Amino acid sequence: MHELSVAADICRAVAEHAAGRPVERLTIEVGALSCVNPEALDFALDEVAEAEGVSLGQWTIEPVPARARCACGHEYEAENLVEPCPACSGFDREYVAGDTVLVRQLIVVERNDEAD
Amino acid sequence: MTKRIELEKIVIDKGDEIALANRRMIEEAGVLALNLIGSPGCGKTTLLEHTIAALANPADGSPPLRIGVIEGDVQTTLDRDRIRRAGAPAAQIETDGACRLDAAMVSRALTELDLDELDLLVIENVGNLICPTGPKLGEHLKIAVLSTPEGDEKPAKYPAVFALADAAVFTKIDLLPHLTYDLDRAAGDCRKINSRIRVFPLSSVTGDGMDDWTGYLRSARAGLVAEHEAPGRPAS
Ligand SMILES: Nc1nc2c(ncn2[C@@H]2O[C@H](COP(=O)(O)OP(=O)(O)OP(=O)(O)O)[C@@H](O)[C@H]2O)c(=O)[nH]1
Ligand SMILES: [Mg+2]
Ligand SMILES: [Zn+2]
Repeated sequence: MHELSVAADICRAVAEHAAGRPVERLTIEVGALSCVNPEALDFALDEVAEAEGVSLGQWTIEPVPARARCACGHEYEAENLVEPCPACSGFDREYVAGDTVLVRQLIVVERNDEAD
Repeated sequence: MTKRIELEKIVIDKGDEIALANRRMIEEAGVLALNLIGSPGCGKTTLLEHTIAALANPADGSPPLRIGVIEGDVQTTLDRDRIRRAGAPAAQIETDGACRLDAAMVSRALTELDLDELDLLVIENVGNLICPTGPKLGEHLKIAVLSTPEGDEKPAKYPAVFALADAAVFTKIDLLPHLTYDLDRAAGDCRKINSRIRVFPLSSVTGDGMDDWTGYLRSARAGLVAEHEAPGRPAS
């Protein structure tokens, strides 16, 4: 269950970036090659946020498939990694996305009246 | 008055920064680091025992290479002790339940090894073909290890580690006569998943295929040293 430690990293990073401002919403992208399970992460976020007293607002977890860039120039979402490029049927490609977990969107609320 | 602010996106891998620091430290000592990933019992430690011996006394008269090992297991120091008996310095990480190593664990283990006395550092991850795929530890090369008894369809079924690996080692080929295992299928699927992957079928027991593997390590290490010594190399 490495999702627990990923959830802890997310809580820590969000708290750091929010710097005391209430978090309103959060969109988390989970790349298919990261071997993090979105459902397990959702469950782990509940647990960790509560245990650490961090408020994450409303969160959404979006699974992101691996993205391949083929030598033919075509870029596509690779669902099945043993299937060839749909444009040229070749396998000479690079994975350009889908190997990370990231907080794509983090919206916090700032009170202007307390700023001065 | 309140307003909503959207902050910049955050890549979640606190390990990445630590991994980069690990790698810098390893590289400054002229050491090439590998991250070995494969299921429990696929033969990672056995491969290391034989690699240590082969690189310490190269049959072809090339200069010896010194290997240091960081062993990752859920518990025990058994694998560390095996590596020490094979004649190499080793440190053990016991993850206490965690299914994979992270860069912080490796950073602590590094304090137990004298990098200046090494040419290669091998980090044997916790036995697991899936979970260790993501986290960077500070390695130069990610190596997927798969044993023939596990079956030739494993690259297709568990593609992520093969997609991200620099090389795949197929261990225990001495067992092929007893198995229905198609080496070409396993290697072919690896190359479909990752056209740049290097594939090394070998047997630690008979020594078959070991020369190609040690040759690969030797040239990767030489490449790293050359890159470091080249004056005014372009920043990539
Ligand atoms: N026949 C045969 N057996 C092997 C070979 N390599 C390893 N083995 C056997 O496979 C078993 C497991 O080997 P290990 O090297 O301990 O496997 P490991 O991947 O380090 O295991 P964990 O650290 O527990 O994940 C042992 O009984 C080895 O003797 C090989 O090339 N051929
Ligand atoms: Mg082992
Ligand atoms: Zn193509």
